[in-house]
Amino acid sequence: MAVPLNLGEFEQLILLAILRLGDNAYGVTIRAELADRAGRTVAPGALYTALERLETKSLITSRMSDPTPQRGGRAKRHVTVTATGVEALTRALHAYERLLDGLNLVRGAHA
Amino acid sequence: MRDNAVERLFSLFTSSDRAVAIAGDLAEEREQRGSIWFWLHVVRVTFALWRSAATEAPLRVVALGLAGLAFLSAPAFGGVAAVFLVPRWTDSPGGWIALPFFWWSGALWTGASLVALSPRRGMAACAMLAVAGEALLIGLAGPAVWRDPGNGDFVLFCTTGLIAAVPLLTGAAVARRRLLACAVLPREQHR
Repeated sequence: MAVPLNLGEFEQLILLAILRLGDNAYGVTIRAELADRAGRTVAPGALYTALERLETKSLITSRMSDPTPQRGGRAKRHVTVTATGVEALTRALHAYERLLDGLNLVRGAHA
Repeated sequence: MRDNAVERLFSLFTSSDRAVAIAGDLAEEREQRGSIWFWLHVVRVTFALWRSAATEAPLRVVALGLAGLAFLSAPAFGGVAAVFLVPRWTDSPGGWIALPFFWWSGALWTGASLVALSPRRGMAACAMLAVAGEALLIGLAGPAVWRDPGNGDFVLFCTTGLIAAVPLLTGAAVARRRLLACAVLPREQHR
């Protein structure tokens, strides 16, 4: 049986952003989504190396789109979360849920 | 016509299609954020890709760096021998022409050889070797040159050594470009 993959916080945020963006997930939109929803300003270099790492772990797949003029005739690299990625993300979020159970951190007081 | 320089730079450390996509993303944001942001992030992304290529398999990169040192040792000795050990050439212009010839051609060959040995990590290893070599040379020889700038032989040795990083990286870059252009590698090995 394969050893379950553990995800870091940054990897979880990226996977969630990709899931939210659906078919429109590529470098620029993922960074914008992370800034809008998570308040995280991510450097492009950090994002691209993280995406490469996630793809190596088979947590995401990518495909090249057609070139567009506003990008100087360059194609976009769209990414999609794989079933393995969803499974790893779900496991990480369940771990958070179990740890948060009984705590009331969102309202600022411990139950 | 689009400028390919940025994606060529990125493709030294990642696959060619990733390099195109990253360059396109930066170009897309350039309209909003300006040229300074664009070029700053070209440098930062290049550094991040190099660091990623090096740290994914650090032992392999260090082993390649050591192999590079071994490759460089023969031409390095050849250059020193040309200046000091061949009596006819001692203190002659021939010796001083031979020194950069041996060192720079050796560096060029070493760069190309490391990429041929490991298409995925060779470029990262060359960059590591170049940075470490420059830092060592500046750190060890810099103070001596500062104290005695009149020692022409020593200054020439140090300058030739410092410039050797350029042919080292050029050899690696040319070999990498040739591999990508010939599509000899399967897609994943381009990284």
